[in-house]
Amino acid sequence: MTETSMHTGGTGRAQSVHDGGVRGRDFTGYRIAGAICAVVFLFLLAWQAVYLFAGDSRTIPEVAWSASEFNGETVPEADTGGTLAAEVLTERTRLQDERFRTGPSPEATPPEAALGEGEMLRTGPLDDGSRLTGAWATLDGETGSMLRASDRTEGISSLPYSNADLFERPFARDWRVGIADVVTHMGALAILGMAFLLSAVLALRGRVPIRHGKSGKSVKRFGFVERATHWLTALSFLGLAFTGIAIAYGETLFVPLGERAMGTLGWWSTWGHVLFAPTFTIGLVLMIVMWTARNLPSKLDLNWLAQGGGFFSDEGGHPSARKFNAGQKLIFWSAVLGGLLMILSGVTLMFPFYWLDLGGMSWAMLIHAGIAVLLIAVFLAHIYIGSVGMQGAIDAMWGGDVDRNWAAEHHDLWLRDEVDGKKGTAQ
Amino acid sequence: MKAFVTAAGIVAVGAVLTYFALGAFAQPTALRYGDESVILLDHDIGMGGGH
Repeated sequence: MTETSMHTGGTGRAQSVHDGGVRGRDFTGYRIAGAICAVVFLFLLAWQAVYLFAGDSRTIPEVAWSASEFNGETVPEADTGGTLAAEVLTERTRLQDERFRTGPSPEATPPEAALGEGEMLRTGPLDDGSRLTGAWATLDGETGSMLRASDRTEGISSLPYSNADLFERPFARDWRVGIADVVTHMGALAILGMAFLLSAVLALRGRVPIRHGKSGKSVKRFGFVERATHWLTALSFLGLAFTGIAIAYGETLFVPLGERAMGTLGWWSTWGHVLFAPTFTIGLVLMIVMWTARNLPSKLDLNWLAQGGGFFSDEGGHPSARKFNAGQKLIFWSAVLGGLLMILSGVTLMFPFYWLDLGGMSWAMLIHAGIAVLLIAVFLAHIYIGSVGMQGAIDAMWGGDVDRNWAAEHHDLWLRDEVDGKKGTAQ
Repeated sequence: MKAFVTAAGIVAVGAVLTYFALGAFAQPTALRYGDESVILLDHDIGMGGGH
């Protein structure tokens, strides 16, 4: 806006008069909003980075058990160690296991292994609990070479179920690190990073303008069925994304609001996540039927990608495209391939162990979560360029009609062959 | 606008239908006994205790 004189015309839309077109930097309000968002997302990214490198997010025991009475005699505090406490806990475990076998009827005779009244436990602070969980999480070279690789690690638990004696499956440790660390942090970086990037682009570049301004004439871009299918899939995706984020990041995002809020949100999100799945599937299948043929790759796409869609400069036009340009095709195939994988892994998670064992279920959850966060990041970009990022783009999916100049600049071949060409044929 | 509202309606109806469909197929995952004890069914691994 420095060297070009501006006028705002009757519509209030700024148009430069010297270069005969609208420029990205003309959208001052959008750019200020973009800058504010960029600062907010940069702050959130920094917060996430601190989280990422803050170190141990494992559960670390803080309290140690020790026996205070054993066989009716008081044990001096100095003499207490883990061994007596373990024996007391073992006795209690036997009692509970017995109770589990005989049933919880209050009339049942207590088994002989019942915890004696004189056997008491006390708790005290544990100096360095991270040593314990650290050893569980990662074996050092020495420990690793001593231990035989096993499918499962078993011991004695104080829970009245025999399968609670199974402490850990080594492959499940990989799953835990994958889901609680890798995917969670990768997702936060991808989503916040994309949000920052888009905000920064809006701030620095402004909206992608209709270079020649609005013509006042419109052409039909999408019919009712196409738009309804798009919104059916989009709204279902948003429902799945928001509930999925609540499931994956609820502890970070909602626990600060109170445990009651987390409980309510968690309950609704767990249910809601499944409720949006059928309509998402229907929408995706309809999109595949309607749009696959038009989204097959062509030579035009390479040219479009090489020029970055013409999005990053106001000089020159946009590369030629038919109904869908290469960017839209990438979005389409992300939705189709990513969506199908999400549906397959999601249905697997809805019906646990029907056709996969525990290892398979772990992979299904890792794949579901990993692709989900990537899809959210990708579709942030789609939502951005379809709304604030590009002047006139939202009209295509909202009302179905786009400005003729917009169509000429972004989908010239489609306008020539399919809109004007059909008119010519009809005449 | 019309397409958006139509889609929103279909998503809402789909969610309600799915909710009731899931309810129809839901199976209990826990049993509560008379003394308020609870046995989680997925933890009952056939110990011969008759649960």
